[in-house]
Amino acid sequence: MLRLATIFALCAAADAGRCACVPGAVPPNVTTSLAGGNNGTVALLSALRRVVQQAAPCHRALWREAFLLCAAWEGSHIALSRHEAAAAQPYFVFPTFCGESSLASASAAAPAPSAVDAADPAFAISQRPRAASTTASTGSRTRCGTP
Amino acid sequence: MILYAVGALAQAVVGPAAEHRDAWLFLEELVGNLSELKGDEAANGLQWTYCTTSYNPVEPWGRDGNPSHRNNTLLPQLVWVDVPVNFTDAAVRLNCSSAAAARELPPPELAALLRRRLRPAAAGQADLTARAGGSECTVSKAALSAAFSAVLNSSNALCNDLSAGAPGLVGSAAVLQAFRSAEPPRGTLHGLRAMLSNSKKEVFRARATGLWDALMEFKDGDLASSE
Repeated sequence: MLRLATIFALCAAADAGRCACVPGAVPPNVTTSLAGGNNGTVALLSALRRVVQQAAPCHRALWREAFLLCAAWEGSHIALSRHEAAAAQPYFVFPTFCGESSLASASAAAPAPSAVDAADPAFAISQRPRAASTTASTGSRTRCGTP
Repeated sequence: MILYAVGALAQAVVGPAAEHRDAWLFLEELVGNLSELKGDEAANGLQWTYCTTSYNPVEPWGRDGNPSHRNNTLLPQLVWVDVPVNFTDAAVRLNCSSAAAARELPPPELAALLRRRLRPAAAGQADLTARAGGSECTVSKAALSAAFSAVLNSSNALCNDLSAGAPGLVGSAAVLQAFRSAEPPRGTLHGLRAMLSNSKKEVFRARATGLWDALMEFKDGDLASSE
């Protein structure tokens, strides 16, 4: 949960690196992994908030230490993805599962869109140029080529 | 969540971390690594994708030809070597009372929500993301916007400052330098440790604590009581 929360909290405008992204069919389990989707993430945040608010002060401090470790990890590798977005060795991408257009316009020449972008209010904040999003519902998405 | 839940369980079963550090660490490492394997199998390449690089190669057990393993790289697994050490050390330092451990375990409500995340959606179940595209995506976006609006600008700025290597932070250039200081897996571990070292930097701790307090809706009084 902390990992999910920090991913969504820290990915405010997560850039995706170009990852030799190639079209690929959406495997059947894509909806499995997304069960609950963003509304599920919101529900988790709400539940976690209730748990932490009711915790004893010492345990609340321990929750915070867990978050700080998670934030150091998630924040640093989102930062690295931004740092390496234009490099020869992109580090990390969010394949998009929530968007409007087809994969065809998300060519390898453009940065791959972020999974969080389409569901991410910071998309409007950052105003960064992005490739068109892909959508799971149309059966297309981006992913790295075989290593 | 896993760190805390396993810690709370360890405290209830074996006792405080200060007296049973090795047992805590063993449980954290075991459950953490298993959860990463399970999580990557379920979501890597779907919700996120690691790109293989010279410093973050495919994990040795990911070379088995299974398509679902092909984007599983070494770094996220190594996280569960070092993060439990850091968390257990924090638990030793805080030395919370074990008397309250049992009631500090995550309640069934939270456990049920977590389980549902990795379970196939039932027919007709509201899943705004999976049925993305068009207006439903807009609804999903609005839901996240409302939930995380308090931290969007500050978290975005923190990631930018980490990327740029702002004063007081271990930036991406330093992380990359650590990654490339040795061949994997040693270099991968060096880079990971550079990433995690931010959790001990005062500047990072202050800013990330601000994110945490906003997410948890803590007020000044709550802050003071958790110190």
